[in-house]
Amino acid sequence: MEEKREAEHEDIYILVDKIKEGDREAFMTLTSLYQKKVFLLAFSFFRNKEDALDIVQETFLRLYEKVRMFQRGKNFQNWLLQIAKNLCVDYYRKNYSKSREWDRNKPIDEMNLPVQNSYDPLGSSDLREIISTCLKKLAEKQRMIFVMRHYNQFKYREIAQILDISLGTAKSLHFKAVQNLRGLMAPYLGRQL
Amino acid sequence: MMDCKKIKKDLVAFLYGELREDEKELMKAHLDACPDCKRELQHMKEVIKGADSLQEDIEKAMASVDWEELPSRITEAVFEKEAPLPREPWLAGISRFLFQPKLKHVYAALLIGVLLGSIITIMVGLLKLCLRRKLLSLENHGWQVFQDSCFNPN
Repeated sequence: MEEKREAEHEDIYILVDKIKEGDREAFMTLTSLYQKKVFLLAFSFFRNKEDALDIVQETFLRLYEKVRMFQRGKNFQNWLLQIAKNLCVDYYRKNYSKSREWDRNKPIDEMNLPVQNSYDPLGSSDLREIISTCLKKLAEKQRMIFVMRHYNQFKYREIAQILDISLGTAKSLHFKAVQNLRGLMAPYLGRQL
Repeated sequence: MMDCKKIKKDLVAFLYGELREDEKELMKAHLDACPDCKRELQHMKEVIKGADSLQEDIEKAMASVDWEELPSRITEAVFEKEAPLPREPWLAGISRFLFQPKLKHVYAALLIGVLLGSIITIMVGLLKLCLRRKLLSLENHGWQVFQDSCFNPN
């Protein structure tokens, strides 16, 4: 198992070395290997296909620009997803959170506590709509961790590496995300969760 | 009985299978005995179920993308924009070479060598100093014996 993983890493390192020399084929191979992972992360975060595709393209462009900084021994997937995550956050701040300027400089573990008593009828009993709306209301770091754990199915250890935070912080932010989602969903569902 | 506050903080990790075996056992035992925490677990499960409902949207979005075509489109765009890979500054190249992880053993060996060399040099120096002092004292002692024999023959 361990040997197989190392062999996979070695294959990726070879592709990366080729890209450093400007090999177009190697770049295309690497893109086709990781495009779905990047898309899944971006789509879960934005819930918008076009935005997610923009992020995919921008991520691989950045990869090409920064490829010389990648060193053997590092986990390539985590490194790439770190680029994608940073792009998602920047894109979100630029295009989505104009009304939430105050959110920009918040410390990562600061949580946006839900307004418990504000009943905001959605006009739809669709659970998908509710969760989608509530996810958008989460602080960006919590949302990122939630989608990474829930939809990308990354373990806390991987999330910690990608986001460059401690394992404990990843676990605690995930807990806060679920707790806040619960609070945010309660008024929509018309009962206390 | 474990503290309910701590248990509640671990509920999410428990639901996502992120607890160690021993923690999982403690959690299960606590949930069996504590209706309050069990209710809390149910609520968390509902949130997760809600999140699962978006899975369908994700699958639809994934299915609507042409994954065969996308890599060539991206490659086209990247290579058109970036044609030659930007030249790496020479200083960055040198530092990248010097700090590459595979050289860590070489650096460790060098460090050990320098340390051992320093220790040996210091020890040899100390040994030389001791010998010189000993010789000096022997010389002084010999001179004293000679003087004594000249001036106090009896």
